Amino acid sequence: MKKDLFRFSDLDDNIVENISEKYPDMDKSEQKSICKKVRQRLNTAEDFTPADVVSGVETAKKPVFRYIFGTAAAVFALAVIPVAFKALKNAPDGPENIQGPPAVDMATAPVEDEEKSTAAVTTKIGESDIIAEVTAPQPPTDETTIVLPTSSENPEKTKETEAPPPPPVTKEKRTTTKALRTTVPQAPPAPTSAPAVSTPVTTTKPVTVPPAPPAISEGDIFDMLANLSYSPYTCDGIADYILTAEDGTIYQILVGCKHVWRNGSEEADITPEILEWVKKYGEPYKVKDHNAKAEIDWSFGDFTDNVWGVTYSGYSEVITNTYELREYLEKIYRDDKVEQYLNQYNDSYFRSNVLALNAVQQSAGARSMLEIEDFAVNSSEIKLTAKWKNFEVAECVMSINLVKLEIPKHMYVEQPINWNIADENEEYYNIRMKEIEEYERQNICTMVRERAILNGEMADVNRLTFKQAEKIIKENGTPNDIYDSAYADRIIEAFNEICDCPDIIGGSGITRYEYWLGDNSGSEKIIIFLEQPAVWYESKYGRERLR
Amino acid sequence: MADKLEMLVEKFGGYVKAIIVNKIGSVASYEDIEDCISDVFLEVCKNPDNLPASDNEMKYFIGTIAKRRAVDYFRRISCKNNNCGGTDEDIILTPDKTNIEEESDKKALNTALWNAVQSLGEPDSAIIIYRYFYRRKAHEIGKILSLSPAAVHKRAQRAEKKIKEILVNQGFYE
Repeated sequence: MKKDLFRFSDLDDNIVENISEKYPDMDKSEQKSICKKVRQRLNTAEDFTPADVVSGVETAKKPVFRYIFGTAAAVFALAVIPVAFKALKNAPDGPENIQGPPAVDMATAPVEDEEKSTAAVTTKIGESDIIAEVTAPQPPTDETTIVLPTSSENPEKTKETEAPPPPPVTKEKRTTTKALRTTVPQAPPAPTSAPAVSTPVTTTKPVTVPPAPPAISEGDIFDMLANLSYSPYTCDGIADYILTAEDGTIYQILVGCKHVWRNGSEEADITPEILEWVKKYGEPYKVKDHNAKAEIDWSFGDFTDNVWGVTYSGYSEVITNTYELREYLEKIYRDDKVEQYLNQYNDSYFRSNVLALNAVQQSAGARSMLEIEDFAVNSSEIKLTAKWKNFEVAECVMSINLVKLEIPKHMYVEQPINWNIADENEEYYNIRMKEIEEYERQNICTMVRERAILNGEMADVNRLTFKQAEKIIKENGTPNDIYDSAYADRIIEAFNEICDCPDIIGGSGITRYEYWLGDNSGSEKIIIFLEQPAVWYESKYGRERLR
Repeated sequence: MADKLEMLVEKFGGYVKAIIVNKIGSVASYEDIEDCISDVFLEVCKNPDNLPASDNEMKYFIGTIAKRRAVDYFRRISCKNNNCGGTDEDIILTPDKTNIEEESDKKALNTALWNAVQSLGEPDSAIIIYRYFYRRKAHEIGKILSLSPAAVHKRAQRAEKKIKEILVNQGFYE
């Protein structure tokens, strides 16, 4: 099912075009490699164009001649080799009598495979593949010719396979000779009288052998690392190398104590092979990336229209690239701010870090400051604790606190993030409630109005004024006697119609109702003593009975 | 020509690669694909004076060459895989047995699949394309998109699930 489902082949042309535009998959190095290949092949084509005449090489013949010449070559070889061998055996010792194998004229020699022979001289230059072939004719030296790609990258590597200079190749138009052939003599040295194949040689390019791959592949190393015997703890220290397996497992290598940590929570001893491989190919561990960092940006204004909806109960995401960052920020900030952040957290940043963000609202009217109290990153959880501090009355503006937690990529294994950020209202409630309780304790009372406002039972809107209080008292006359509790009730009821409830109910030995005038400071107030009953006005200048 | 070649590869390399991967990605190795791409540019560079002037025409021109080269490579690789021997010329093309109805269904599925991938949003769409179209490994995708391999795995899994749901809802699968 899955295989069928994701069969991304033979797509329509327009889809392919879209893919190539949106998701191009050719980086600079690949472009370079393509250009290099094309250029090499172009140069080859320029050196040997169809107009060039190469002398000394048989022109193509029909297959029928191939067999005839092949047979003739075989007969010739059978006849010549024993004779030559006998002659050599019978010849007296001495350098002057040592002869090379008989020269064979390529121009007239039988050709076993005409195409191969021609190609060996003309078209194999610069091709990337290594082609080994036995050239025709087979002289008695029985030499094997290897045609290798030309390059000047690793000249020293050619030494092993280099042999006596190849037969000169003639080109009438241009004369560039490349190290086309490397002859590996299997028996005696190459013939001193070279076959007359071609002509001048001006430059020589060395032959390259591709660099040897590492003895142990990356896959093997991860297998070896996975199969080590791990203990569920880690020693102290800072890793020297870090390797990330394809399944996301992170191995940190400590060269000094020859330990490996798996996902930062398990430890094992490493073998010398792994150590050697890691030193050669491992990615060094940068100490500066070792720790996570956390900070908060506070800002107001420059927000999108629906920011309050988005951040109503906090808006947190783990950002792993600039796409995600832009997507996240565009829900909160306007363009300038987004660009500002994108400049700060660019592709290079996300190559080694992930960024956990949480946008937390701060309500208007209170100038509170969100402060990070603590944060910790381990393999099973990331935890950040932040609290509100310094409550003061402030101007009416809502703002956003962007909590940023920067986590080095190797420390992030998609473990859950626990944002332990106290709710601003809850925090405010706790602090304010403590203040109320302290006031109540000192004054032996209950702050009825403050509690009701804090619990959301009423709004902090209407307050009694002195004039209103005076008018109500005048309207209700005077109490009949000292036990006229109905008088106090009438006054209280009338006051409550204006401001909902008293600020304070309390007292020691006598029940006192306080209605604060003007503001929440309690510096001016109307006091009703139920048991007297009497109504008083109190200010910083003293207390006066109202009648 | 060298500068022109680089310019062409920079401009159209991705397009050529996408075409070639689309045709032979399922059977070819990375080296085959690279060889095929270089073949295309080699062919373009052989006649530098006769290249189309405008980018649009050039894109069409180079796209056509890419498609043809990709088909050549597909035949060659298929033949090599089946050990049929012989040269390109020896390959006998069997009559096309394509069922028109099947072909039409496939086209509809491709379009639906592409739309489903697009609907995922970034970077999930990119992950699916790099993983299933370009056949990139998780760590390579991670490098391209600045994600950890583990994140690529996770996101790919979720994206696959979403695509499956979308296609099932559209009646392509039961």
